[in-house]
Amino acid sequence: MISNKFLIKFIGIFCISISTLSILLTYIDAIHLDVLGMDLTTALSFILSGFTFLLLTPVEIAKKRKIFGKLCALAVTIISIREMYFGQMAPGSAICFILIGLALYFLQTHKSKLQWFSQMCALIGAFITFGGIMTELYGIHDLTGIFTPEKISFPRIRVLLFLLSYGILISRPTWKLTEVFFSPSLGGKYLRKLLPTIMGALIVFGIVGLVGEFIGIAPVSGAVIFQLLAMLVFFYIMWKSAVDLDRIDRAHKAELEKRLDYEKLFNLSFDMICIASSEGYFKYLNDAFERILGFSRQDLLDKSFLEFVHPEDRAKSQAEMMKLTRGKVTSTYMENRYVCKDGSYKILGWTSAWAEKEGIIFAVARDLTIVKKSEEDLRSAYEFVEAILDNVPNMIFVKDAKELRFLRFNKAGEELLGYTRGELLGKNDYDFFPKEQADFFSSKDRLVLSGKAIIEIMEEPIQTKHLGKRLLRTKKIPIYDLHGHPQYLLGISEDITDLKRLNEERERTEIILRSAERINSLIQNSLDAVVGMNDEGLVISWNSQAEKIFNWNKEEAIGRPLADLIIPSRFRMAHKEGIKTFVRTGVGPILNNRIELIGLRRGEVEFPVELAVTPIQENLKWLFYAFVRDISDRKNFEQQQKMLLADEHAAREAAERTMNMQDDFLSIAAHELRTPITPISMQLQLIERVIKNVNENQVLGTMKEKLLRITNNSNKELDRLSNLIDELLDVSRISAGRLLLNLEEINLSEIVQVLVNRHQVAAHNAGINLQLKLEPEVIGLWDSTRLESLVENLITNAIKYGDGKPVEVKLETREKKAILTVKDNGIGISKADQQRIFKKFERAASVKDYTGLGLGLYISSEIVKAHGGSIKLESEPQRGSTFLVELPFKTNLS
Amino acid sequence: MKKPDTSKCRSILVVEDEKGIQEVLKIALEMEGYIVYTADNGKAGMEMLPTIPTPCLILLDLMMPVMNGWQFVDVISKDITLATIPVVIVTAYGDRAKSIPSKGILKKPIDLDSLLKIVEKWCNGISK
Repeated sequence: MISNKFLIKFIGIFCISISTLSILLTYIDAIHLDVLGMDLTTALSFILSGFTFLLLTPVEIAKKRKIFGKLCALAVTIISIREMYFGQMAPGSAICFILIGLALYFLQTHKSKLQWFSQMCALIGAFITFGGIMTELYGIHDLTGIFTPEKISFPRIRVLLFLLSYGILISRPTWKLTEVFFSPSLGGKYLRKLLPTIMGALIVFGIVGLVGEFIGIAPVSGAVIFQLLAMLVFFYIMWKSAVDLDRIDRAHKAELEKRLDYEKLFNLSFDMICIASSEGYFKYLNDAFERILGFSRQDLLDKSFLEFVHPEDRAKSQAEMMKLTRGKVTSTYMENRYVCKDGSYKILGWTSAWAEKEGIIFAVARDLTIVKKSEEDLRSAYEFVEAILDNVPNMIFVKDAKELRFLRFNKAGEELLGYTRGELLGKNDYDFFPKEQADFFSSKDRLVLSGKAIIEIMEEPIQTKHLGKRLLRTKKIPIYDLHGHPQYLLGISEDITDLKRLNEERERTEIILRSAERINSLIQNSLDAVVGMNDEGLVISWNSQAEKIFNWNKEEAIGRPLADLIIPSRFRMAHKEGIKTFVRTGVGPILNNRIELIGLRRGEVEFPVELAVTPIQENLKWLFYAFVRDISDRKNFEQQQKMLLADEHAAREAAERTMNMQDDFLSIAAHELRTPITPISMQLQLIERVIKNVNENQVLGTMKEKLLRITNNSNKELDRLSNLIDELLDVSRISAGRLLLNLEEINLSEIVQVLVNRHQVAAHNAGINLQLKLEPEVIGLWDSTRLESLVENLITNAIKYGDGKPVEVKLETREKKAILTVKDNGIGISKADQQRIFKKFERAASVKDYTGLGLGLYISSEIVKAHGGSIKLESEPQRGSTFLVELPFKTNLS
Repeated sequence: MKKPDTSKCRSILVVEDEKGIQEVLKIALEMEGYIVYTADNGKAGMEMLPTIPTPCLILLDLMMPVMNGWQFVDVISKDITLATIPVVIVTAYGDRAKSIPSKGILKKPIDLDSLLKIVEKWCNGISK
């Protein structure tokens, strides 16, 4: 059988060799131009065209070859267009070359319309050249147009052009025009019989004509014979090809019939089974194709399988097929995607084999779409589960039941233990934990696996690589195989370290809060005011007692400066300074002590408080809590106590002084009473002695003077004693309230006059000038004896304490009163002494220096009082004293 | 009664504030023939001493104004010319007088015989 491929290659080589030969012959000028000669451009066009034929390949592959082929075809077209207008080429040849160039160019395309155009060009070319050949053969010299022999140059060129056109047509046997000729259909069969018959008939007529011409003695030109021979060869080829095709068709048919039984079998297959030609055209398909791809057999048969392959998979698929058909492998497996009628793609797995003898491919395909999708689904499901496991915050692990080695480990587990999955998987607890701990884990694991129950370990300590010791709560679950034997151990561990610490902290906080609540309620109900203050001096706490004591309620107090509420303004500066100093230095003298201060309540009322201040440091800030107690009542009580005590003390002191004074008085009185006794006793002894010493005859006359002096002295001492006793009696009477006045109308002037006179001697002895100024008649209703002792007392005192300086006694009347003034210029009396000088037993001067009972002024003042008068003293130490006595003329007292 | 013997030291100084006692001592001692000088207090006595013949005895009261007996003894004990003069204390407070360096104590009320004996002892040679 002569295959198309072979023919095409032959035509290509033939064109090249004839043209090359003609060029060579033309140059050496060896043969006659008429037979083989052709000009250079024509030869070049044939060479290019032949080269393009050699480059022709199936449409889908070999881009470089395709581009090169296109370039050659383009060159042929351009050269022939140029020749048509400027060159020597015959116009018919030029047109044929243009058509062949375009047809060659478009042979490389996929587009249906251009394929059509390409075949039409080739067909027209064939027709023109065939026409040219026929006119020469039949000698129709008067034919006009491009068929004219002159217009289509030399016969050999016509033959070559015809061969090229024919080659183009058969090079694409599945395309439009040629499809019918090559198809095994009825039309194809008839066409294949018809065309060689027509051609054969034409040739036979030509030969008959030529023979007739030869017999009629007409010379037959060599050109005609050449063309006739070429046509014979061509006829043979065509006939042979048609016969072969028919034979093949018959063989196929027989084969197919033979396989009809198998077909039934094949149609039962779930897999797609097909037979394809060596070029990949479907020749046989089973039902599975229709079922799976949705196309009918008619859609698929005699089509290249490549048309249905996903464009991305085409190159791969064709390469696989080439491997088969070139005999490199006997069978292949590949996967590719096929388009379905609905436009979707199915994934098919192909196994193919090459039957070299028959030139066909056997192929079986399985629809892997579902399998692939399932695999995909499975993988994504697996990844999904994996992702979930990895994102679970708890550690999840799986161990095999026999050796307790880790089979699975999630990310949380890696993070917790500090080991990667790579480090963990395939190892067991002993590889990571101390033996003791690993023993514990393993024992628990075994327990779980044997006990067929879930075990929850509420708290297990675990030594991790990077987080130190952590506490886990672990649930261990046995997983069994179909026979109920433990196969895996699933563990789920939660890291409860932080949780536990949080819980403990929360508990602690709760305890603190509860105790804080209790303390707060204690503070609220405290009997003391409890006041809190921050380090800025603002109130932060104010209990109910504080409301009572300070009379500010809580809402008013909180947030205000404490000092403004409860501290008197004069202490506020010190308070503020105190806080500052404490915050700066930590020194606070009043802190932590009970102290008493002055507090302030609403309305600027001050009151005494007792307080204790406690500083508390909280979050690096100082807070101050003061327990304050109102101690007004206590203070009042203390004050009263103190006063009572002072009174009592004063009373006791007074009593003691009185006692002391009485003691002094008794001692003085004893002394005073004793003093006169000494001289009296001595004088009596003296008298006795005189009397004893006197002889009987001796006259006492000589002693008379001395004796008188003695007795006189004794009388004086006795008078003195008598006066002392009178004084004591007076005091006694005054004390008993029995100072009775014996009132009578008297002239005080007389009394004063007499007494002053009587004391002139004593005054003189003391160096005192005693002066007297008086009104002659100062008459009143008075007790003369008492007034005598009054005046006597005042004058005696003036002389006694007069310090030798003049003393003045003055008596006058004024407003029915007698005014007696006794003025000395002596030692005087201090202010303090002036207060008590009129009291009982008092004496300003010291005991040692002045004699006397100290009763004089007391008695004097009592006498004046008894008379309804008054006695006053004006005195200055070292300047003298003035006693001023006022006596009403008539006393109300009886 | 004998005439006073002026050839011998017969003078006595009496320092006593109480006039009555001064007087009676003066009378009693003069009756015995002594020359008696009296002073009302210690100061007066001190002032008097240089103006009179050195007495053979000083009769000294303790309780006196201006300068009392204790002060008086203190002063004369420091004066060499006077320190040798015997001093006899005349007082009502016998206990208190014991601390004073003296030649004797006469307790008030004064017993006349005791007085005369002491005086006689220190102003020796006066026979009855």
